[in-house]
Order: sequence, then C-alpha cells, then structure tokens
Amino acid sequence: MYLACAVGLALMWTWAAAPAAAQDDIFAQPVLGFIPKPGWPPAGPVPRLADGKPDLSGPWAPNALRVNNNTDSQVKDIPIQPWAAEVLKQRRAGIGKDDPEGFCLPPGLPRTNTTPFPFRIVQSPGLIVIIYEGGAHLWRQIFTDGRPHPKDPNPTWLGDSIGSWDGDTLVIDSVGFNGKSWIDAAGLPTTESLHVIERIRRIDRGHLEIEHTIDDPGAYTKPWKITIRPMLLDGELMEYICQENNADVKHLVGK
Amino acid sequence: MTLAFLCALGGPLPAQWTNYPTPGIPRTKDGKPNLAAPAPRMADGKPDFSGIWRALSGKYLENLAADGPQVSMLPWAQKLYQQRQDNFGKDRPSGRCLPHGITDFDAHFTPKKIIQSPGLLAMLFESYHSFRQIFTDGRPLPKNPDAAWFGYSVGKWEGDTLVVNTIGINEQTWLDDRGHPHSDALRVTERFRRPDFGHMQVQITIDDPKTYAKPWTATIPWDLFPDTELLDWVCENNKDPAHMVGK
Repeated sequence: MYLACAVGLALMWTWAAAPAAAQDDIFAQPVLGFIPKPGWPPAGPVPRLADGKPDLSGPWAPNALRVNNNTDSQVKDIPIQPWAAEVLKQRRAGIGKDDPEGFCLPPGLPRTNTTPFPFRIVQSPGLIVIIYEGGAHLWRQIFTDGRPHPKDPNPTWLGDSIGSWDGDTLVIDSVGFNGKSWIDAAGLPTTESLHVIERIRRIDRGHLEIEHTIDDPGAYTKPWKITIRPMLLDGELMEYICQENNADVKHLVGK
Repeated sequence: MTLAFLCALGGPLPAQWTNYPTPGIPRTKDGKPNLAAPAPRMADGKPDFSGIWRALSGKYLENLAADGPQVSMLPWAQKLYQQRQDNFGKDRPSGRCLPHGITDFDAHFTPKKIIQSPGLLAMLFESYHSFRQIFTDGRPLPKNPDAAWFGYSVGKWEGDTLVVNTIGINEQTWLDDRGHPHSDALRVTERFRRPDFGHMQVQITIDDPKTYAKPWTATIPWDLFPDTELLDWVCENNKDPAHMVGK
C-alpha cells in the first residue's frame, strides 16, 4: 500500500503540473490505478429500489484527481475572499505540509468525494451511509428520515448531513463543520460557516454525477460549484489505513 | 494508568451523546424503548440487527478471555503476550491511531451502528470513525486474501444466527488490549444473535493453530443504545506515541 500511495502521489504531481484542462475533460480522466476492462463500466438504465427511488448503492471510483489536486484548475473564477486567497497562496508555497490529509485526518467535504480512493454507498430506509476506502478509512451518515439539522451542531470534520429526494436526485445538505478541512490538496480553505449541498444523480448504471455547492460565506463571496462524475468500480473497496504511513509526517517540512 | 492505556480507551466515556428518538422503535407506555420486545425482522424474515449497540463492560476489550476460557498459548505467543504487558502496551496499535482488530471492536464499549442491507452488513464504529464490511451475498471467502486490519468477512445465516467467518487478518492486530497475539492462520468466527429488541449476543471463537493449542471462545453481550446517534470521533492526537516508552 505504501508503494501504491507513492505511485499515486507521483501521478498526482504529474496531473497537478499539467496545464489546466477544459472543464469537461475532468470526466474523461483515468481512474488512478484502475484501467477499465473492455465493456466497463456497464451500460444500462438506472437500477431502482422497491420504492421507485434510484438505487445509488455500490462501489464507486471518484474519478476526480484534478479536482482533488487543484480545484481552481477545474472551476473558473472561484469567488474567493482576499484572506482565503492569501491562505491558499501560503499553503501552495508550503507544498501542502499542513494538509490535514497528510496527518491522516478526515478530508471533510467536498474533498472526501474527490480523493483518489473509491467509496461505497449503502442505502437503507431512513439512512444512507457512505464508506470510504481511504483519504481516511471512515464513514459518513446521511439521514433521510426527515429529521432537521441539530440547532447547534458540534463542529466536526464531516458535518451533520441530512438528505432528501428531488425527483431522482438525492440532495444532501451538510452543516456543522470545524473549518479545519481543505477543499483540495492545494489548500482552498473552509470555515465553520461552510454549508455544502451535494446533488447526487445516477446518470446510468455505470455513472454517478455529484454536484457540490460550496456555500461558505466565511471564505467565499458567493456559493460556487464542483461537479464530478464517479464511475462504478469493478471490484471491492480495498483497505487503506493512512496511519500506517504516518511515520512520514516529520518529513513534511515545506519550504 | 499509562498513557497507552488511556489512548486505547479512546474518547471520554461520559461524553454527551445526542438525544434523538429512534424512529420505529417499540416503546412502553411511559415512552421508553421496550427492550424486551421481539427482535425486528427484515422483509425476507431474517432478524434485523440494524441499530446502535454497545458492550456495556470494557472487560472484554481489556481481556477477551475475561470469562476464563482455557487459552492455551504456544510458547512464542506466551512470551510475546508477557512482553506486551511488561511494556504497558506501548506498542498497542490503537495507541498510534491504527485500527482495533475486529475482536477489539466487538468488545469496545463505544457505540457501533449496524446497517443491514441486502447482501451487505456494514458496521460503523464511533471510535476511530472506522467501519467494517461483512458480505452476506453468498460469496465464498477469498482463497488468498490480502492481509488487512479488518480481514475479509463473509456471513451466512444459521436459523436466526448470523455466522460470520473472517480470515486474512494482518498480524499487527491484537485480539485485546492486553495483547493476546495471533498469527496469519487466525480464523475468527462470530455468531451474532438478537434474542430480543434490546440485546445482542456475540459469540467469538478464536481458531489459530499457530498460536493457540486449541480454539477458545468468548461471548460478549451488547445492549441496544437507542434514541441517540454516533458522534464524530477522530484519532487526532497522534503526537503522543513518542511518549509511550514502556520499560
């Protein structure tokens, strides 16, 4: 796994160094370490549950390396506030030495969906769970039983998430973040006022689309969007335990 | 108490869990959860284990053999077991934010949530924000699985008992905080049974002929932990391992 991670980092750097591509190209990116076999992903209509809702369950590959590395190479004119732009600049100059992911901490939102690691959606009545292979081996709960957000949620890495259906689109509303997570590896910041809306749609059997609206008046002047198109994974999640490589933290020194 | 022990204990026990009434739960006249009600069932008639659970006692986390089964360690294992205790558990993986093994998580007193979905039973652990997958879609155990902290688990039903077999558990895991060791030959069999709404029995058999002369068994009772939710528990304090020095 260490080697895989090293290769992954090398690939990420390669992509990071590549010139900014047109927005649409992000949907044509290869999945890290995953060369689809012929005929993959499978074609066909969206599978549905007994209640008629789309079945989102299964293992998915995020397919969003460039977004994870440098979101601003994929999203034009991010309405960043001056202080946040300065923070981003400092983090870039520090070559990501303070990136929480480097310390095996949770990626937060939206980044937990854009790390190179696959995730699995588990759909059950009143609750949708997403388990993540890596970025940190962790889970998210999205309550779909109609409950509201708590009035004063404890600030957390992943926030409090509630979901509802807008036709065939699952709309996840998340608040209650701790402001420590980065939006990408470059270091786009978040604050405790972060509010993320994910609109998840299964386009066909083999593809999801996730549109994230980043609404953080603490760091951005208006809401903005990141859209990714994960592909059905041909296989199972593997086990990635970040802390096994955490002996490296002391070597993250920046400039 | 050593720091390593504190780390292994994890989050503060008297933490305030959220108060959220679990929908669909049978209740007595005074509105309290009726823990003696029959166990719920899925549409296919199988028991539904979904819910938040916890082991009320931490004794099996401390020592999986707390109830005194005959544990016949082979000499190398006995030596390693003694070393781990002499060193106050300084090398315990959880002290470095590494995952507990599956027996540790079964025994852990922090809440865990089961989500039973077709073909897959997922366990979410509050502590370490970790999870485990148990495949119930009829697949066999892989012939040569990659060694993993959680191994590879498949479950099948024997009547109302879910029998989960796990192999491929990496040798870094400890069976409990005391440090009962194991080898790559370990096979863990868990038998999950929900006798009523509020209770689960988890019977664990340790079968590892390279480490123990014969298999041994522990049974851990879980209580339903209704009307609340898992908290966000992240092992952030990874600066302390430098201070865990043992002898």
